[in-house]
Amino acid sequence: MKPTPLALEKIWPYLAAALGLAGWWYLGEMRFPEAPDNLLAATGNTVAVLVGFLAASKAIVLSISESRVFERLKAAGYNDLLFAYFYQGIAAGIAFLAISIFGFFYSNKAPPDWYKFTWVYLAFLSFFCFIRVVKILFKLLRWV
Amino acid sequence: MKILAYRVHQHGDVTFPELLSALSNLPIAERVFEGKASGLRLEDFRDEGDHVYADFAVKRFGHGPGRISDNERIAEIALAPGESFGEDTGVLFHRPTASLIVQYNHVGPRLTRIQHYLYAAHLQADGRRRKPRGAAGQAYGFGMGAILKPGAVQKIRDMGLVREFEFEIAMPGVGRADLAAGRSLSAVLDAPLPDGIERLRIAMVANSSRDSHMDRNAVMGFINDLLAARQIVQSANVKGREFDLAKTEDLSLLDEQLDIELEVRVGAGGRAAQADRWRALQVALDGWLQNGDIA
Repeated sequence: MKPTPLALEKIWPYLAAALGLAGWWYLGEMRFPEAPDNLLAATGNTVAVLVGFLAASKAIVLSISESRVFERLKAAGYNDLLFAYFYQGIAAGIAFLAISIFGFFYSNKAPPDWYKFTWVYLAFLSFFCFIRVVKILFKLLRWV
Repeated sequence: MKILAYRVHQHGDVTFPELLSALSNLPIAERVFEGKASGLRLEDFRDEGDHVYADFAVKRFGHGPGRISDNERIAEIALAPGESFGEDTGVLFHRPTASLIVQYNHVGPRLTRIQHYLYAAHLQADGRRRKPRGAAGQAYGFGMGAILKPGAVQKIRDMGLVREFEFEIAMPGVGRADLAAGRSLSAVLDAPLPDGIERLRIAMVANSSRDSHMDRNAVMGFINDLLAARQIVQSANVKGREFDLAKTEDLSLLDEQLDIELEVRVGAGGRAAQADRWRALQVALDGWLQNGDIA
């Protein structure tokens, strides 16, 4: 059975992240810094910016909740979906932040493979979830 | 009950009754197809030789009906888990004339959606999961053009010079049906949502020189497409004249489609029984055949 565009929109960040992980595994030969402290610190800063943007964007959406376009989305049941995408974007970002902080416990030594897999998957996932929200947000703001 | 008349054009090698018959042999839960007609299904089918009856049904989404009386406030009609309110549309196919007599149900399945449904069903019956590219994709489903009143057809034929064709389409924006049909949020936001853009008016006008005119066959194609999607068409007008110096005539197509309003008894459940709806379709068809409106 062919998936609907809605089903694809719901799962594409997860599928794309899995593909990214597979690409890193096969094509990138699982490259990961031997002592990733600097990478993890930079990751923390980057994720903080992404999560902060998503949280601020959610506030923007709430501020237009009385606009006609948002009223229409709400009447059609799409507002729950929009907030679910925000939630997933923020949750993926925080999970990525948490795994990066956890990485400091392996300070000055190579982390185990399960950690590398999780870190790379969450890196892709938080990026794609962020892209999904930004794309929809900019479309939404065109009609306000 | 309002009843409308259409002519069915078979695109592939399967006839309208054959496709309905094949669908009716499937279990009811398997008569639903993804895509533009998601949620729609063939509910019932009866082949009586020249006359083929069918009902198409769809679940009703959003705010539903309640029970009300003069002395009581409106109250909910309780539904069991897994149940929904449903809407059905009856059709009668007349084999000798390939005409389709359709019950108009404003909140139920409309003809355009039924067309999409039959297209998807035909693809599936042929073992295909998606529409083939190019001309092969045109070999499925059915075209359905509105049957106009004989006078209107003659008027358009007489219009040697079609000068202007104008139509207006309702664009209701996003609704609950979009979510049920699986439209993505991103796709929904591509459409003009605000209330200010609810109607789109398009006018095609021949250039200003007196003897210029539009291609009549192209205009007839537009007319057929528009009348097949009548539920979203707010107005459609053709202006033209018989010959260069004749008076320009203005024809409203929506007023010219063959239709009839018949009384149908509503039962205890507030619904018109299938037998009564199908009988009304039969009465409408018999009248039009007798008058020569359908031949």
